[in-house]
Amino acid sequence: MLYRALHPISYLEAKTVSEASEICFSYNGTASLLAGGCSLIPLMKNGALKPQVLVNLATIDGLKYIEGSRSEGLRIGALATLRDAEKSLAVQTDFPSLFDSITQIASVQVKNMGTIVGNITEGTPASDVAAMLIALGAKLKIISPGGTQMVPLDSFYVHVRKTILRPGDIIEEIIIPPRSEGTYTAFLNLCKTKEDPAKVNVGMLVRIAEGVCAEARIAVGAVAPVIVRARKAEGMLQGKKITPALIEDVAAAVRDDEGVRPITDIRSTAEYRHEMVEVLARRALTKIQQKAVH
Amino acid sequence: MQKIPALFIVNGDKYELLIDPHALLVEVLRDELGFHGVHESCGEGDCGACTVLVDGLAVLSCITLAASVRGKSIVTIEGLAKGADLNTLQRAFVTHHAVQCGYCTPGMILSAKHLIDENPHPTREGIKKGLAGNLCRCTGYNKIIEAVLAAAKGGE
Amino acid sequence: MEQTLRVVGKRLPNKENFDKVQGRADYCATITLPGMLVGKLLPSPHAHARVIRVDTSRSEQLSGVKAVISKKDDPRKVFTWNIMTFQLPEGELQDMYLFDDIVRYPGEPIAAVAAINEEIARQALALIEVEYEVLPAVFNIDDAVKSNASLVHETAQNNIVFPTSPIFCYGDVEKDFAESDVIVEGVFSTSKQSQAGLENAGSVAEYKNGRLTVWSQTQLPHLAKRMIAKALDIPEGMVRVIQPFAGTGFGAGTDLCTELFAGLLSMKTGAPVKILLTRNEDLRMRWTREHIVKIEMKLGVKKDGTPLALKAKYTGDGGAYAGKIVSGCAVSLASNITEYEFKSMYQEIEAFYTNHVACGAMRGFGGMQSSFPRETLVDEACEKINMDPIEFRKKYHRGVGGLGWFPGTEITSCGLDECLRVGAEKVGWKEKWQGWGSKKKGIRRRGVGLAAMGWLSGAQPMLLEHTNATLKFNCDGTCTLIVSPGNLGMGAIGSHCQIAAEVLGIDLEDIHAPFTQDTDITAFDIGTHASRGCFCIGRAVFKAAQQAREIFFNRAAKKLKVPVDRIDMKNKRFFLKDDPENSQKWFSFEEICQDAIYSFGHDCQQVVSHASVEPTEFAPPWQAGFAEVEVDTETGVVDVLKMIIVHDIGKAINPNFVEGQLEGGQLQGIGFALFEDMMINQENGTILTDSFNKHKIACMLDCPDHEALLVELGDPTGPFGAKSCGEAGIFLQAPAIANAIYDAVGVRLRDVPMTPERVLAALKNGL
Repeated sequence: MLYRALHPISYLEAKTVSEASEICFSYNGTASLLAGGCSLIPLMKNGALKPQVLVNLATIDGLKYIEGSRSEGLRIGALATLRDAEKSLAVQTDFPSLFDSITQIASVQVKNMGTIVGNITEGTPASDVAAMLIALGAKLKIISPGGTQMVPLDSFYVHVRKTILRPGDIIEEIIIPPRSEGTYTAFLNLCKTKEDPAKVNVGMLVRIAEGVCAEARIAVGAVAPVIVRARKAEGMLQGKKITPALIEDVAAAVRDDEGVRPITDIRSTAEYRHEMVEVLARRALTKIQQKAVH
Repeated sequence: MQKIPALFIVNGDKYELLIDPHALLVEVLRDELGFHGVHESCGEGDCGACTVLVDGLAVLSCITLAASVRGKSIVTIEGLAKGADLNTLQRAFVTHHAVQCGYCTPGMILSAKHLIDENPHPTREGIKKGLAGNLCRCTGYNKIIEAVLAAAKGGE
Repeated sequence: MEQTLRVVGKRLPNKENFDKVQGRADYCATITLPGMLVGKLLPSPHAHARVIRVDTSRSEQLSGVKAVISKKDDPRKVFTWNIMTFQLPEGELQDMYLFDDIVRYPGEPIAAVAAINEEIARQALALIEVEYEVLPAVFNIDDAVKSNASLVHETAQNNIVFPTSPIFCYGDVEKDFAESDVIVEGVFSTSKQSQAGLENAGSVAEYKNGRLTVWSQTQLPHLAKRMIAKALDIPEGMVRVIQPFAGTGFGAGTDLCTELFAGLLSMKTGAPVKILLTRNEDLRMRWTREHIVKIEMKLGVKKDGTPLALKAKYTGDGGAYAGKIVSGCAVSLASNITEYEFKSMYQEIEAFYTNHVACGAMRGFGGMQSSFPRETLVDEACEKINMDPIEFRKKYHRGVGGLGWFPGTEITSCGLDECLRVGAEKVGWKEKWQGWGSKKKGIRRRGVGLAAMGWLSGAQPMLLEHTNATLKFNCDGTCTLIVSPGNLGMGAIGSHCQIAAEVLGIDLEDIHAPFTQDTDITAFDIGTHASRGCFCIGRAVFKAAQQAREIFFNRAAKKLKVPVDRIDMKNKRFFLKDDPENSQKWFSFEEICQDAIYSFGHDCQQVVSHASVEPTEFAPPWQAGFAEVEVDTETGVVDVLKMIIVHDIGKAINPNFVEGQLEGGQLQGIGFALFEDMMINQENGTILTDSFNKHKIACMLDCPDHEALLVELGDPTGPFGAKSCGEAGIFLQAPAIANAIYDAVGVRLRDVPMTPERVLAALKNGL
C-alpha cells in the first residue's frame, strides 16, 4: 500500500434509509452520506470535508427509480443517477428542459456515477439541475429520525455549499408536481468550456391559461450564494399575454432582481454575469413563448 | 480503522483482499493488484484518465471508494485484449494513430467501449458526447473519433 | 526527389502504441520499484519570504520516515531547472539553489520527505516546523520595476532579468515609417499558458552502487543528466537518466521539476524514491509557457502593401527565476523576421522577475507571441490599404534564399503560396469573405479570417543542435536504431525507423528501436524541442543508415567478388546490375548480415553505424490558417465553425504522425486563443486555477471542425525533404480567429484568451 489520498475513515453500509438516518444522527455531523461520490470524494481530498464515517446509501434497494409523467408529476429516487434521468423516457418527453440541464453535463462518467439528489445536495449555486428543478417547483422528501418533511427546493439552500440538512437528514425522493397542459419550460446556460460549471444559468417555467400567463417560476443560478427566484419578474408575467415588449421588461427585471448579486471569479466577471442574466432570461422566455404559440 | 475483506472481480478474475475503508479504487487496482494501466491525473473526477468499467458503466476510479464496488464486475484496459490479440477498439486506436503519449488512452478506450456497447452505431456527434468526460492533450481528438467510428463499424 | 518510396510516406502504425492501448506502457507515474519510498514536497505558503529556520527533527523521528531534506542538505551549487541553458554558448541565467534561504513563489518547495507510504509522508510534512520572515512580494511588472519594489533576487536591481535591448535590427525603421503610407500599431498581451499534459509531474530516483538513476519526464535526457549532476554536486558520469514513456511534454520536459528532490532523497536513503505531484501541485509548480505579458508592435507599409518597417518590444514576466523568459522573448522577436520582407526591423526584448512560478517553455515557444500581434496588425494594414489579406501574404512573404531568422540564415524552401491556395478553397474564402468594411447583420454574425507563419526545424544557430543516431545490425537482417529524442509519443522514433528502413532498403518490421531513452546507452543528443525531432535527428538517422548501407554494399560486393558499382539492392536482396535474375549471383540482406557476424573468413564485424550531425540550415515549415467563426453579439461567445490550417511540411515521413502533431497543436492553439489562462490571486500570488476543475483545457465537445492539411513540396535539406511539424500546429488559431472576429463584428481583440467577456466588452466599446 503506497498511496492513500483520503484520510482514514470508518465505512458503513446501510440497508434502509431510516437506518442510514439513525446512524448519521448518532454521529452528529461527523458522518457523511456516500452515494455516487462525485461531490463527496473530491471535497474530502481537498480537505473541505473531513468526515470520520462514511455511510454508503448505494447499498439500499429500491431507491433508483424515476417514475411519473407530466400529468402525474415525477418522483426521482435518492439513488437515481443523472444517467438514469438522461435515459428516462418520462424525462425526455415530459420534462424536456430538465433533460436539457442534465444532458449538457459533459462527463458521461459523472452522469453514470452521480445521483440527482447528490448533485443538488452539493449546494453549489451553479448547479444546472438544481436551477431547473427549482423552476419546476420540485420538493424534497427528507427523512430524519424525527420524522418526514417536505421541503420546497427553493427553500433548501442557505449559502454556498450550505443547505438546511442537519445530521441524520436524508433526502429520500425529489418530487416534481404534476403539470397541466399549457406549461412550458426552458433551460439555458453559459460555460467557459463544455465541461465547466455554468457562469450563469436560467431555468424557467410558465403556465399559460386562456392566453395569459397563469404561473411563472424563474430560477437563476451562479449569481448569488444560492439559486435566486426572480419573484418580481415572475409577478410581472402574472395575468399577462406574453409579448416581445413584456419579454424585454421581464428579462430586465430578472437581471435587476435584488437577489442577483454575481461576483467576479475564475470563470467570469460580475459585470458579464449580470448582463447575461438578462440575455438568458430573455432567450428562455422567448423560447417559451415560441413553444406556446406552436 | 478496521480493514474490510473485499472480493474484487477484475477482468473476470477474482481477488480476495483486505482493504482500508478509505482506499480508492484506483489505488487498489494500480498499487495492490498491479494494474498499471489504470492511470490517474487530476484525482478529482474532471479528466477521465482513471476511467474503468464497473458493471459495464464507465466510472472514475480516482473518486470511487474501493469498498463500494466489492463484488462488482470491474474491467480495466488490461482486460480487453485476449492474450496477445488486441480487441477491435485497441486495434483501431493503433491503426488510426489515436494515441500519442498514451496517458489518456486506457480511460479513453474504456469509455469508447462503454459507448459502443450501448450504441453500436454512434455518429460523430454521439462519439463526441460519449467521450466528453475524457480529456486528451495530445491528439486534438480527430483521430480518436475516427478510430471509434471505425471500431464501431467492426473493422479498423 | 522523385522516387518511389516504400516505407517513407506511409501511414504505418507507431509500434509503441501497441503497449499503450494495453496499458502496458511505463510512465514515471506508474513505475514501481522494490523498496520504493514515497517522496513529498513541503511547499511555501508565502510568495516571498526568508526561511529563517527549518526544524525537521520531529519529522525525522516519525516511524516510517526514511529521510527529510531541507536547507541544511543543499549542496549550494547554483543551477537552474532550465536544462536548455547548456544549449547556449553563454548559457541562460542560473539563479537557483535547491533549498535557498529565500522562497520566491507560492508553493516553492522548502523541504522534502521520503517515507514508506503516502500517509506517513503527509504526516511527516506536517511535523516540519518552519519559521518564515514574510517579505513583500511583487506580482506584476509595473510593481516590480518601481524604485522601492521588493527585490525577488537581491542581485537583480529593479527586478530586471534582462534590460531592454535591441536584437537583430536592420535598416532604418524611423526613416521607413516616415515613408510609409499606412502605419498600424497596437499593444498586445498573451497568457501564462500551462502545458497541462495529463501525466502529473513526477520522477523516480534510485541511488545504488554509487550511481544515481533518475526516471524523468524530461524531453532532453542528456541535458537533464548534466544539470542533475551539477545541482547535486556529483560527477556527471554518476548520473543516469532514463526517460520512460512520458504522459506530458509540450515543453514541460525542457525544465526539471521533481528530479533533484527525488535524487537527493534517494542518495540519503539508499532506496528508490518516487515523487509524483498531485494535479494541484503540478499546476502550481511546473514552469509554464514563456509569459510575454506585453507586446508593442508597429508596422509601416506602402499603399501597395510593400512592407517597410516593423518595430516591436517584447516584455516578459519571468516569474521567480530567469528560466527561459529571455530566450522566449528572443525567439518571438526572431520569428517575426521570417515571415515578411520588411525593409527594416527594430525589435527589443526585456524581462523581469516577479513572485510567480517561473517560465519554461511550451509548444510554439515564442512563435505564439510573434504570430498573434503581427498577423492581426497585418490584417489591419490590409484593410487600410484595401488589399486582399491573402494577396498581401502571397506577395510579401519571404521565399527561398530570404532571411530566415538569425542573421546569416537562409530559407531553404517555401510552400506558403500553395498553403494559402488550398486553405482558402477549403474554408470557402471566396464565398465567405465579403471584403473590408462589410457589415454583418443579426445577433449571430459570421466571419472569416486568416493568418500565416513560417517557423523553424530545429533552433540552429541559436542553440546547439548536436544530434546522433546509431544503427546496430543483427545477424538476421534486423537492426536496432538507437536515438535519443525525448519520446513523447509523437512518432519521432517511428519516423526515424521509417527513414532508416527506406535508406537501408529494408522493412519497418526489421527495425527495432527502444522507446525508453537511457543516457547510458544513447549517444549525446539535445533531445526533443524546437521542432527538431524529424529534421535534425532524422538527418543523423539518414546518415547512419547511408553509412550502414555502404558497409553492406561493400560486404556484398566482396562476397559477389565484383566491384561495388556493379551491384544493386532491391527487395532486400543484393544482385548484379547486369545479371539481376541470376540466383547464383545474389545474396539476401539477411545473408549479408549473418555473414558479417558469423563469417568464419576472418572478416567478421558487428556492423554498427553511428552518425553525428549538427544541422545548420534554416528550413521553415510554413502554414496558412483560416478560421470561420460565429460571434453571438449578445453573449460575446465565439463559436469556431471551421479551423483549417494548411502546412508546408516538406514531406510527411508518416502522415498519421504529422497530422497527429498538427491536430494536437490545433486544440492547444484554440485553447490559447479562447479560454486557457492561468489566474492568479493578485494579493498573495497563489494560483487560483490549480485543478482541471478550474483550469480548463478542451474536451471533445469543445473540439470544433478542425483540419490540418499537408502540402508536400519537399525541402533540399530535410530527410526525404521533411521539415518539422511538432509545433507548427499551434500558431495560427489566435490570429486567424481574431481576424475572423473582426470580419464578423468589427472589433479587434489584442489580448488572449479572447473570452466572451472580452469580446462583449470590445463590442460595447466599439474597438
